[in-house]
Amino acid sequence: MAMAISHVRRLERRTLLLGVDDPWIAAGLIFMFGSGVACVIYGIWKWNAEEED
Amino acid sequence: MVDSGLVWGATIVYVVIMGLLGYLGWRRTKSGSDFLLAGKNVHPFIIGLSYGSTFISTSAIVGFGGFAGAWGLGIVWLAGLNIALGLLFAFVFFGKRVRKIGQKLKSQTFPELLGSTYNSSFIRWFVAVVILLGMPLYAAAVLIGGSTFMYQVIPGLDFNGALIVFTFVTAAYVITGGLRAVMYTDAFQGVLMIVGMTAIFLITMSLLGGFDSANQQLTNLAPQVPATYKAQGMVGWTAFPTLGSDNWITLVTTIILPVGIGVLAQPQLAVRFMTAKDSKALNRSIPFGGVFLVMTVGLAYLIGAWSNVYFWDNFGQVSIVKAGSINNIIPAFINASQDQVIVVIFMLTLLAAAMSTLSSLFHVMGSAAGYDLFSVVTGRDRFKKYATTQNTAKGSLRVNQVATLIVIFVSFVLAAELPRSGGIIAIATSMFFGVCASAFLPLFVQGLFAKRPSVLAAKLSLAIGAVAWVLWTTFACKTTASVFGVVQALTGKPSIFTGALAVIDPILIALPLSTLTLIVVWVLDKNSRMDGRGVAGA
Repeated sequence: MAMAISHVRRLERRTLLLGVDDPWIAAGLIFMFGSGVACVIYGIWKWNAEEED
Repeated sequence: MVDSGLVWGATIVYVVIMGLLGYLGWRRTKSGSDFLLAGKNVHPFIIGLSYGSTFISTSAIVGFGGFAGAWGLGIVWLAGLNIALGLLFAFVFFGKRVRKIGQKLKSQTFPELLGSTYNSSFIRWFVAVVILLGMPLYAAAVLIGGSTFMYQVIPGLDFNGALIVFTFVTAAYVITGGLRAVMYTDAFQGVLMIVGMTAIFLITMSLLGGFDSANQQLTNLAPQVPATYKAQGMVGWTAFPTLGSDNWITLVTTIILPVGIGVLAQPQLAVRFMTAKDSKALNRSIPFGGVFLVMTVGLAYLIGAWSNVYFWDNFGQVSIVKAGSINNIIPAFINASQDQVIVVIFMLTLLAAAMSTLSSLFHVMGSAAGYDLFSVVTGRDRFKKYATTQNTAKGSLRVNQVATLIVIFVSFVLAAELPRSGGIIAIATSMFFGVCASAFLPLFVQGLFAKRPSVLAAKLSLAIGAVAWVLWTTFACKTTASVFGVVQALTGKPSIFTGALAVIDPILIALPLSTLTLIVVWVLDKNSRMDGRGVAGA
């Protein structure tokens, strides 16, 4: 029992971000959501921008 | 078991709305130009959602969502690439140039855009032929995906019946309403997909105690990874596979790279850029497309992976064991965990995903045959010259409609004959994205950005990219070679290679070859590069 609790605690300590312990997956999640946010920001930023055609 | 009245009622309402939007498209389609480019004044909201819903089919939700269920969250990198490269980068750097050049050269299709850019009939017909050879398989895979789920959910419908209904409804609005009907229905289907996936995601998240909690529980499931998956390099659902393992190679080279890069040269997506009135409309469509992609593919991958926690807690099995196959993970999870109203909404979401992609594929194939090939074969390369009067405009509309009907029939026959198992949906999707990138991307980029593009480099790059892709697909890559079965019939083995070479995706061979060809020939071909005629330099 004590070993099991210790194992769970070890797993929890390894958790970095968003409940994920692998930085590649955490980075992938941030990349995915961040790209979506970037689309929104870019569209709003350029909403009325006159660009040369 | 879902109430059959609810299923039929929802399906009928959906089909009626599609019919009304198709009718609206038909009313506003008076000429070949309307059929091909929807009048070039489409609203940003419709462009963004149409781009996204065309991009995302059942294969992205069921196929790749199921892949996340089996192999874990490494696939979120594909969703990130889809949004950052396939949408934001594509609109900002490709979209505006495509719209500008398309307008300047009065191009109405992707083959015509490339042909006109290089002033080359060869490029135009070659691109059209690649589309007509490669796209029916992709369309058939989308048809199989949509029809399979329809017959599983709608009472009293078998696969063939679902296939006929699915093809007929889509064909009806594509043939009559052209790109207007396609984009109007895309927008509606896009909204439906966002609503459906968001509802399922929120319910799943609440079932598992929140975002972080769901991931944490999934992390803790790592010891339950099936032994066969462990042997291939999988270490958990919230961990990237071991570098260089079979699982890593499949994930990175067969899924993330081909689909992530291939999107940049997709004919059915590039044509969306030409429907915008101006660059402002393209900028304004980016947020709609971005939100759409996050809420559909992004959430589908998370739901797929999280299904393991649900199945483990309730049945003591991980998703791939409980569902039996990758393509069945998402449907099995929805059926087991959600209320029947959500199951029906999910059915409509999948129908919308399949239909929105399929309608665009039908439209692009029809225009490649009825506009591009027809123009080259009849010596009317500059089609617009004779499409100036009302009668000829109607004539061009009729040719496009007949050609679209023919390609739909071919896709239908393929879908009826192809095997329905073995991950054909994801494989065919990846294959079409791969051939487009390998053959079209280098000359597309040169045509858009080079000040003095080389026609010879473009032609050779196109031919070598296409041939190299076909050869590697048919003989070397065991995943794709198994679809054709040529090597199996000749040698009794899945590939002419063994080991790592046999799992390398064709795009990783063909795209570098076509790119290298373009660069080398461009450097050598100093004397005959385009100057002045080349739109990129204008």
